[in-house]
Amino acid sequence: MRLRAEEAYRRFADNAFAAAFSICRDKTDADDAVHDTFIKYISKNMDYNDEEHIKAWLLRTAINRAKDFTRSFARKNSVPWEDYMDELEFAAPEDSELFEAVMKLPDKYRIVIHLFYYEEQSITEISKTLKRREGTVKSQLSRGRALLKEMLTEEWNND
Amino acid sequence: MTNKEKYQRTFSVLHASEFDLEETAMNKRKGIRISKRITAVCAAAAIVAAMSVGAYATDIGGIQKKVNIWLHGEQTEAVVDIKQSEDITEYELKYTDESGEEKEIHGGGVAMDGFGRQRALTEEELMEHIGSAQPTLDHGDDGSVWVYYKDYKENITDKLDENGCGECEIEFDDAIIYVNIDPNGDETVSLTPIE
Repeated sequence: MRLRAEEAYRRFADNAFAAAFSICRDKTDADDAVHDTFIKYISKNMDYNDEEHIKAWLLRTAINRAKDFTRSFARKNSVPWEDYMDELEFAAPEDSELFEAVMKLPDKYRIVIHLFYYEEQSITEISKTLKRREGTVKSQLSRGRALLKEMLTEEWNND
Repeated sequence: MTNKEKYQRTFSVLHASEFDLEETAMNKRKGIRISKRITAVCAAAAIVAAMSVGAYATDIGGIQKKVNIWLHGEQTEAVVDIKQSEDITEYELKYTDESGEEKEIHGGGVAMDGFGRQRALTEEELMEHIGSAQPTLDHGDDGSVWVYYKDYKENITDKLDENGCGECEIEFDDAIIYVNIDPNGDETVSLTPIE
């Protein structure tokens, strides 16, 4: 199956953007990663098993593209995430604290945390998305959670 | 409220910027890749980004410039025609390939700051991009897979599996190139290790 590009964008672009932002912490780079991902979606004309398969492909492609940008030695026009954060309208003050805490996590923990809590992916799914061993994902998730607990104390549960 | 609910509420404030998919698809057919980043301005990036750091430019009238570039490991003379409009700076590279055929590469770009304000690239920024050296990957008509970097080239077909997928490192004199081609067709070629 295949969704029309406009429909796929409407449904999954924000997910791809949030995942890319978790990698690069830069709005412009994350937008570009999403842009490139959908250009690839249009040009590849692949057949997918179902909508979840489409979403997984878009997420993985956006994440990989965002990684390419972070590896670029010529990152220009990069705006600190703290400045971009000022533009965001959080529903509650504690949300901005959580956002800040997540942004301060080391790169390798941040995307694992994002896929687990935002995309509700299992350890196995995260392992496939990031091409990391399940054991690695498990320990990175555990370490990331512990760091969030350290930073957020009572605002972060033990669930 | 669970951690999951808190996290989802917090990160639901992130939204991708709108862009015109139809126009993007049309530009792709025309070979124009509009990027919001200065550092990745062309769609024909696989070829254009392979230009050498040492590319030189000579004015030949208007804003056309003659440049020497690396294409598929060979020094090639090309003419860059830069068209600057209010919204985007586009370029056209014309060169003659090894079989004597006239070829064109199109590209273009805008620069955007972190808050979505965008402007057309300056000629200098575009030329800087054209002059940047990045490794590239290319597929031959016979199914072979090649890596190019400056004047280096290597056939890596044997380093990949029967489906043309896999990971490998290619060591050149002054650089190590890291390649990853996965079964979904995602291709990464980089000067730094791929995670």
